[in-house]
Amino acid sequence: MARRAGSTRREWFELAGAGLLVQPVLEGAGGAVLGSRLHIAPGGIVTLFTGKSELGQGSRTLLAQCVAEEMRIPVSQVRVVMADTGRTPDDGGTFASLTTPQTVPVVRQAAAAAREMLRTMKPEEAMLREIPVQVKWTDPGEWRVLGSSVKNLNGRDIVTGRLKYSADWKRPGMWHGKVVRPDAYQAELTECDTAAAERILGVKVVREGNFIGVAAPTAAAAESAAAAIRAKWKARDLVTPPALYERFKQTAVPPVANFNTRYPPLLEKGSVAAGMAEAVRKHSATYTLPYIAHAPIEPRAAVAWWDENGLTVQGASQVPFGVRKQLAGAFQIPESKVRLIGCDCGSAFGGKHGPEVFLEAARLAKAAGKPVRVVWSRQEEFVWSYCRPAALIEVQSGMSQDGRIVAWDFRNYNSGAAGLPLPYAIPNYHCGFYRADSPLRQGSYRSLAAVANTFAREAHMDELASLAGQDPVAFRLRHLENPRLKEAIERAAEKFGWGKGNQPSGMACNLEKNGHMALFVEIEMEGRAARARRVVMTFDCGAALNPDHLRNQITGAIIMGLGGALFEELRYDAKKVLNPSFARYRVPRFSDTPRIDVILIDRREITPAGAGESPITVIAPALASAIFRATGERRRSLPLAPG
Amino acid sequence: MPRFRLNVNGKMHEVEAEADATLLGVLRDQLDLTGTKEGCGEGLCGACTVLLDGRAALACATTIAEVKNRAVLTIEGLAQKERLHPVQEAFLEASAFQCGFCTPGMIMEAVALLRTRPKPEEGEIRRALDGHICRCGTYPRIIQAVQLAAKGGRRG
Repeated sequence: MARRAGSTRREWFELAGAGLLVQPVLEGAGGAVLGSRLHIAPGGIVTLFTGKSELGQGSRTLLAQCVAEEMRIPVSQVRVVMADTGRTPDDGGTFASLTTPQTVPVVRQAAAAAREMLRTMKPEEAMLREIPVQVKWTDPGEWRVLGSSVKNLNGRDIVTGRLKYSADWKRPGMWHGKVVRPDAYQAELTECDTAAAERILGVKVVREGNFIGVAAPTAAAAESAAAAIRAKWKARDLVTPPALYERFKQTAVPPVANFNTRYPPLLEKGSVAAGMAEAVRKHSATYTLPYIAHAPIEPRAAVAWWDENGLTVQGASQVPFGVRKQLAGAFQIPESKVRLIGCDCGSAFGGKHGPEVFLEAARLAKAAGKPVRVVWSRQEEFVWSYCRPAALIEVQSGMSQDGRIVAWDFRNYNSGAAGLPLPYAIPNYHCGFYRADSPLRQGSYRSLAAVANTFAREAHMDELASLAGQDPVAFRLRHLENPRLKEAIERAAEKFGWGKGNQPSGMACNLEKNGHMALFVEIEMEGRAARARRVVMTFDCGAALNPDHLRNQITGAIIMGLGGALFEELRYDAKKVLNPSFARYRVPRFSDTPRIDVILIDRREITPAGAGESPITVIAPALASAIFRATGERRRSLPLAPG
Repeated sequence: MPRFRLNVNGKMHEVEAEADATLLGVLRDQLDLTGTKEGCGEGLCGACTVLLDGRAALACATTIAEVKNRAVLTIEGLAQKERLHPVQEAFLEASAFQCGFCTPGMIMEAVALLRTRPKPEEGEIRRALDGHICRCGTYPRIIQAVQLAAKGGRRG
């Protein structure tokens, strides 16, 4: 029997019978099934399937809110299965703050469509429904769940220690693996004596090319066996700072305009030469950033096993489907024979894209014929994961008589194109990303190169304001047209009391990934070292889908950014990393944490941008600006106050 | 291999381990108590903090022989059945975590602090927890949670 409009929730779930699997179909694409998205169980529990990962940024709770909102059910009735290549659709990697702009709409549409379908379907209709995805979703003015600060769905499991992370999984008969690492960063294996290790009862030694690893029944036995292996390596020398930055220039590849990419590498307008010719005041400065480590508090780990279904690996990944593909390639098996079962991740910050630990566990499991777990040590995390690229940034600028910027030449060597677009109205500019050779393995890091590019741009703006004899806030506002960014600056300045206190202070602003933000900081100098005492930050990414989670992300990004700004640096010599330990690689602690006021500018009617990354970009230039006011010294290299 | 009797969360366990095996390894691998986390393995991040006779101790830097007859309390033993400890409640109330990996260690340290200093000043909380790293940067909320637990009340 057809259901009348306005059926109650209870009626829907009775209708669902033994359970209903909802598969959204993309109209206009030959009716392509997007994969199983929602399961509706008889008791009324709705399970969402998503390929996204929970890294601590709140994606699980946010996506559950989307389902609850659109299906008109409480969040407590929603379960979320994430990042399992055997059960979830591929929603792309969990990076670039894309969950909010890309996955939220997909999930909301699927849930809204499921709601409509349940309202109109007949009981005898199938267990599995393919539904069109074009259904109107809930207007922001009517939100009851979205836009509210729903608590983390995992909260209770987190505070009771029940939430399982990568290294917490076990399999029956599981062994433990350990990889023998080279004694230098760039090294080739020349000799290897594994006899002593192989004499230890029940130890399996694997040697393939440069890879040496062991598997044993206990972690202790694996450690002893690895230590018993005598390997000789031939090392290649690494270029170290300051020669590193010259090397970047020597190997630089000039950018070619390309707008079919998320981060265009070359942005130009007018003529920089003409602008410079007309300028009456010229300035040039060079900024550098060192390599830094993600240092996620959870070292990476995975369990792998082989059986009649092929290879299964279990552990947290930011890119589960990408890792599955890499594993299939490495073992020359079809992707259908590889499954990655993800789990919630003990933080990643862009550092857990790769297949490393999965590959190691899978190799050892294959050789041992048993499930094998590999857990990286803290030292392995610091040395053998990839790091945030070092950067050399050269800026040349020119101002007119009345203190307006008329020319801007901005070149980032090695670190990336994210954050290149200028928020300021400047008639002539060249902003380019010049690829270069990097001695250390480098990769994604929270907000990518936007940290480096924002640091150099905002630090340079501060210098130009001084040269023009203008207040840095007024100088920026004169060069801005974007009303949201202007409001972010003005509201932060007012809350901070800019220009009123006696303590040295600084500020910076940014428009990154559609997040509009300004940050003001007050500092205290202790010799050469600087301590942040008070921070005010405004942030506007459109609608705040979960305001409390958003505040938590912003505060966390400021604190994380403080580390890279003031003291983080992966130090290395010609052969190896010199500080692979929390004793020598300093990260922010309680004692480094300033008082932080976050002002959210919540624009309910504006489609939200992702916000987990970009708030990290403004603390470093604001601190550099404050240090200048305290000392009269322009510090143009991060970290600003090492030690 | 030597055998040890361990009192963990009020229950006696007998384990076989080398005398220099860490308490952390025994808890996680032999007793399946994985709530205690390994963040660095060298006593520098606080993630593995447990209570030994009521005082905070780093399980990665404590050998099984050192534990002897002392009572070990881990995050799994803190709640009374389904009733959470006030510090756990306060962490939930303040949403004092993101990824949650450092949370068990933070909670155990806060429990130890509040046993000796029921009404700590903010500076005392910062000093007591300064050996703990939260890479997500939730420090201000953790301070708030400890204050909340000290007040024995709810926020707002």
